[in-house]
Amino acid sequence: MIKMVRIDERLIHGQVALIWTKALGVDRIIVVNEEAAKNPMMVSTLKLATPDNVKCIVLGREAGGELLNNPRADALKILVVVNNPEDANYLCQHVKTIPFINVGNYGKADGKTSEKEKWTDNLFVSEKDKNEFRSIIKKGIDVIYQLVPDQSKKNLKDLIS
Amino acid sequence: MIRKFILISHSELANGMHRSLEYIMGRQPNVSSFGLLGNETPDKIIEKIKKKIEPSDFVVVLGDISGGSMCNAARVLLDQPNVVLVGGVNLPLLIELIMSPAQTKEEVVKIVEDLRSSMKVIDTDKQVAAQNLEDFLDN
Repeated sequence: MIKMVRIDERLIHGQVALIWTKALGVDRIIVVNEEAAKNPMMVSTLKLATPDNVKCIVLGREAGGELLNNPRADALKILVVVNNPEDANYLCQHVKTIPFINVGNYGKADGKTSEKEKWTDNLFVSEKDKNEFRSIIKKGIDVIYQLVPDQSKKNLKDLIS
Repeated sequence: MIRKFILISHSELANGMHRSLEYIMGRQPNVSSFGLLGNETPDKIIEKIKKKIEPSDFVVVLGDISGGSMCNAARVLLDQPNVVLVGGVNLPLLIELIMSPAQTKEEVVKIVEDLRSSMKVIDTDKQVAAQNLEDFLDN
């Protein structure tokens, strides 16, 4: 069962590994990221960032989608982590059981914040990102900005024009 | 019952850990920190902490070094049954305690035991080898 899909450009780090994992009570983290899946160094870094009682796997889009659609995944409590809205949208289009999308840190890593709209201190979006979010929302899946569980939520539906 | 977490250390570690915690988790009103600086004594600081503890609180005091001067001075707080003192705190332990519902000494002991493994030598090759779909799905 997928508990949440997180968009976070840092993938697994303190907020994701220690806080969301605990708050959601998950026992699996699936990182869906083409680049990371091909890079053993990144895989090992992500696995190291994962708490000991949680199993982590790093897969490309297609393999990630397949795993999430595998009936055996129903018995697991899964947090999916991607680092961009496009991958999140891909999953929304190909996986039937996405409960909602959570967005944390996104849009600063490429250093092009001046070309984007600032929605919060930790969320900067381009036109392309907005289209990905629109497509997810159109599918009937909520996209919620919330950095950590005790912080207030913002539904992107209300921010997107 | 209000749960309070109090960090104590030599110099700035406690204050720095408090800031690092809030960098990750956002503002934490139930956490406070006290560092031993040049012009104070451990006993004076612990006296200040003592005044902040209400009988209805559950208080975890987390010190930098077990057997260090701050932890030693803090032992007087253990006269109160609602205080637990932990030495050798690190940030993963602090976060885990705050995220947990722990409000007894036994629960704190369990979390400290579980979090020992958060300290480790980082080894690359071993973790890469563990990328295994069957193991991942195995419940």
